[in-house]
Amino acid sequence: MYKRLNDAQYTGLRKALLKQKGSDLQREFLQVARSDGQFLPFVRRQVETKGEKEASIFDERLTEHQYKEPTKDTEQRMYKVWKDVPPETACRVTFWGEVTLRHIENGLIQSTYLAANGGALSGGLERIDRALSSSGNEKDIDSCVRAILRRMSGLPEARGNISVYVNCPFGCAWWRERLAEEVCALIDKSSSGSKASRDGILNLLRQGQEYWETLVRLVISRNSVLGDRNVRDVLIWSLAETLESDKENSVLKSQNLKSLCRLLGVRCAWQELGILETFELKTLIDNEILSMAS
Amino acid sequence: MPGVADAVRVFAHPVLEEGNLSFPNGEYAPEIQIGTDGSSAVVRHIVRQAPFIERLVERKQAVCSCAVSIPITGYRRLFETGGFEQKIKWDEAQLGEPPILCPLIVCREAVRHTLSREDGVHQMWVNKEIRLEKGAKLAIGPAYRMMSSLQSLLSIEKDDSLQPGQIHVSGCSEDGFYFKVRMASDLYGFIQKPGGEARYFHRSSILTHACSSCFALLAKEYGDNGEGEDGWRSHANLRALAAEMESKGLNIWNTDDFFPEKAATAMWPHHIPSQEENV
Repeated sequence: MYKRLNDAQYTGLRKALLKQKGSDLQREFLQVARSDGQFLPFVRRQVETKGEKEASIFDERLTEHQYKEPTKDTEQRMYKVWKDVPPETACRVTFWGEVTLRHIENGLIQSTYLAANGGALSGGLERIDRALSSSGNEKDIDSCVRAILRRMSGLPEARGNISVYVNCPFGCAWWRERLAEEVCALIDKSSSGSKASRDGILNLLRQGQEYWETLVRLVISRNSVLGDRNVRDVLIWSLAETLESDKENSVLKSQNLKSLCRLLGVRCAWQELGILETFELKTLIDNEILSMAS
Repeated sequence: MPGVADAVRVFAHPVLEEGNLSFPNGEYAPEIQIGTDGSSAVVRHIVRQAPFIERLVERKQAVCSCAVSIPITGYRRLFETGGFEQKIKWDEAQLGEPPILCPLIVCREAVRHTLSREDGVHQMWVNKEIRLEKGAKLAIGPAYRMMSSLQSLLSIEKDDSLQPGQIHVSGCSEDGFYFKVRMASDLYGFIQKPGGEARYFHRSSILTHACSSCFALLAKEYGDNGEGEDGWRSHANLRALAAEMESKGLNIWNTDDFFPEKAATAMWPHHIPSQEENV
């Protein structure tokens, strides 16, 4: 088993931190997050690591921007490092929490990066300091603490199981690349001569945070129609082809992706799509996309 | 008993499932026996009084199958079989946690058929021509979560840092929902070893105590209605536990009249060894 944080202890720490906005514990957490030298012992003291196998770490130092919003190329290189990690491990906050801590320990990222906002907004250290300053209120402190936990591993208490896939940069990179790899393998196996390339598939999966979240939610929700690997891979394949041939197609908007999946959901109530051959699924999903666009 | 969601499900063909009246006397009662290795199961697809479905399976136009899934990892695979019994096996190391099993019978080819009384269908379907597409669900069984009992909600561990006789209960929500019950080494050794009636009752009482603490945690963490991706209803074993408690007429943790110790001892009462009566 890959090394990961002790689930009970880590869950306990997250719950304690989220218990009260602006609490002393939240303030202490932000204070220690200002420095790697304090953050690591703070977490390590409360949360043990279990497991035998150490996951590799990324072999280059990342800037704050590279860490919070890695480029396609960076995500690909990250995935190469963790390619052998099985999905059952890659969906765990305890695994990515341990991986993130090891990157801080090795000086490849800094603990302040975890607090950074998205886009061109303020950096992590600035955000922590603002929250801790006299002008910062309880809400700012709480929001900063949540940002750190989300980036470090994902925060299931606030966002459910989807959090690992969409909030933790390392987890997000792994899942995007993994899905792209699966779809490419399916296309190769189908010998369909499809023009959808790995790059095109990644462009689809990196269309924006909302689109990615919509897609992931459909993959891992408990009643998901896309739970079946073949169904979800064919859907991504069809959408990637659509993106390559018609960038303006309405199905490439996350709202319409939700509608498409609702249509598939209705079908799944009476039809088991997992029994269909790849070419049958492809025809079915292509037709659904066509009917939505028309 | 079927809920509202079952009552409003509408299909363009008769389906054998709980709450669906398409086959008024029919029953789909799959039996699932989990292998001792914990990573395999034998599924017996028992179909009663639904000759239309039985015939399609015998003619190989329909197939008995079982979907195995782990939603958190996006894993789902359909296992098929030629008859009414199948053995399925999954890679526990890859899945990481016990899966959800959902038996069902589906069409493996398109079928056009005019239904008659002999098919076992409700009067409303008689003389109706139906067109079944490949994959059409003919019978849908209840989902079976391997971690659906309270026993599977408890993960008991030895903790040498605890004082003799001490226990500590905490909730974990990552690998599905479960409670980690840490026990001092003396207690841990005690509950592991088999013994006579008195030992059994004592052991049960220790576990009932732990369960009472679990219920208190549930009330604290999930006192709300439980909806949403991170609510208690997102955990199959908690839904199963709630259903089991409700079937016994007990209040669950999201109600005002929920008392952890009362619920725990109603589910797992303390027993007094028979020798005690003579003391």
